[in-house]
Formats: sequence, structure tokens, C-alpha cells
Amino acid sequence: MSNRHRHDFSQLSILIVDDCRFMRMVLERMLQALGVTKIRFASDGFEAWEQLLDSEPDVILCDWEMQPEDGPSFVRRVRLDQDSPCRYVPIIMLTGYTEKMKVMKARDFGITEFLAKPVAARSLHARLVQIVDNPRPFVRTASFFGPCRRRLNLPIFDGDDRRGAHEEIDI
Amino acid sequence: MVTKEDVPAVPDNPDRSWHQVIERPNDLAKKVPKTGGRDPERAIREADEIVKRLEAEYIDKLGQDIDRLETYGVRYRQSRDPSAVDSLFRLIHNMRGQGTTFGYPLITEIGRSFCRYVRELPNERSVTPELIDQHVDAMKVVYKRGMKGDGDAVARAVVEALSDAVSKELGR
Repeated sequence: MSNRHRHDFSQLSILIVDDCRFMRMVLERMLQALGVTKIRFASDGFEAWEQLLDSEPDVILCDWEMQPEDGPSFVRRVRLDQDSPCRYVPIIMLTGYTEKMKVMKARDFGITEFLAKPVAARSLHARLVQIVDNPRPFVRTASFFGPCRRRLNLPIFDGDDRRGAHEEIDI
Repeated sequence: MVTKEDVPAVPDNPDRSWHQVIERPNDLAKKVPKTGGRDPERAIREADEIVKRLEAEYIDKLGQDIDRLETYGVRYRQSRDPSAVDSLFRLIHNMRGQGTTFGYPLITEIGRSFCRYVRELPNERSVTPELIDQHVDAMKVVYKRGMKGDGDAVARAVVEALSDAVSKELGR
């Protein structure tokens, strides 16, 4: 059980990519409480890409719906663009709830972990621990490049609200 | 400046089962030792408390967001400009993600209903202004009455009615 450990996240750098300033602040405060000190921000995929070219984060926390470049396009670029500076970086995708099929398809973008909205501190901590303690190998096929999809945790609600977790997963 | 890494090459005419597994050194484990950090239970509790303390800011923001929704709704009603629906969708999508975090799951549910409507509406059909108004009005009631949690029976009925109206509009 990972929680017996006291992971020291103080040297971990995280890039938060979210077009909502308020959510960026919420995530920042949550991460700080968990002990993360190196936090940067971008408001969409294009801005995040510029930051990657400047300095590679250890983890990217990325929202789905953004403009002008959304989360899936950004993830695809990180994984496959010939100029990508960090194609193996772990990427946690924030999602709400939608059809299971949609999320299953989203695995193909190269996401490392999903994190369901509303974001709970416990889930955020668990994803970080998972990335550090059990990194997934990457797989290259003719049509895919990204973390091994067999071990991808699909999003489920945390806490009390587990309605529809078996079918409805909203992005 | 960081250096780039090449995408692993795919051979010419690979068969369907071709794949390459790439195991990499776990550099993050060196950067994040399993000792010396915060007690996780305490850290998680503090993070949850921080979110609670942000509730006042959330409520201010909720009011501002609802004002913006009304502006977009009026713009759509007057012009039928699809970009107004895009603006509505993106804002409501964000509101939906935040509602439950700050104790307002009704905002999340109303937002979910609207996002479902916009996502599932066939391309050849337009969003109806009445359904926009109904969703925005419902959010306004939740905000003005400070309806935390699942709300009362009336609130539940309103959310269900919205969901039913969306289903009817989608022909389901």
C-alpha cells in the first residue's frame, strides 16, 4: 500500500494546463498541500508546448476542453511530433463524465493516467504515486505510441458520487 | 534548453501484431524518494481543507460565470451565432467540473445535462434558445438560493425535468 510511504514531491516539477484560471489555482493549492513546489502553468496546448520547449516538466496535468488547442491534440503532439522535447513525459488527463467508449478511445492519444472531475486530493495523490512507483512501459505499434494501455486506470468518481461509474464517463 | 527524443521507428509493412515495448529507467523514483515527504493522510486532509476555504471565491466566480452565461444566451438568441454556443459550452463545461468540488453538485448536474445536449445534438440541428435559458435559469436559482448538496425535492425535480427536456429534444 503506497500510503505507508511519505513520498517527497518537493523536487517534482509539474505543468498544469487548464484554460480556467480558477481551476489552475485550485490544482496549484492542492499540489502545494501534497508537497509539490515546482509548479508552472499554461492555459492551452499551444502555450504548454512553448513551455515544454523551454524546460521539460516531470509530469503534465492537462484539462480536456481548452481553446485554441485542446488536451487530446496537445497529448498527441507531445507523443508524436518530431520536435517533441519530452515524448515520454507522464500526462494526467482531467476528465468529467461521459460515455465509456469515448474514454476508451481517448486511451489512444497516449494519456498516462486519467483523473476524474471533480478532482479529489486523494485521487490526485494516488495518481502521482502511481506514476512515480509504477511507471508504465511505452508501446510502439504501427498506429500507436504511448504508455501501455492495458494498465490505464479509467476515470471513476471518488467519494460519495459513484453514480453511473459503470457506464457514464464524461470528458 | 531540452533535447528531443525520436519516435521509435516502425518497420516497413509491419504485420498487425508488430509492436515494440520500451522500458525506460525510472528517473522519477530518484527525484521522489519514498521517505522524507509529508504524511499522505495529513497532506490530503489539508488539501481538502484548502479547497473548502476557496469556497467563498468559488461562489463569487459562480455569480460572474452565470452573468457571462446570460450574455452568451442573449447573443445566441439575437444572432444564432454558433460561436455563442461554443462559449456557453466551454464555460458550462468548466463550471460542471468545479461544482461538486465546492459542494454544489446541482451545478455539476445541470452542466452535465447541457453539455450532453450540445454534444449529442445532430449537426444539422440548432440549439434551441429555450433550453439554454432553462439551464442558465436553473443554475441561477442554485446560486441565488445557495443550494449546496443535492438540494431539496423541488431542485431535484428541476434537474430531472431538464434532463427529460434534453432527452426529448434529442429524440430519446
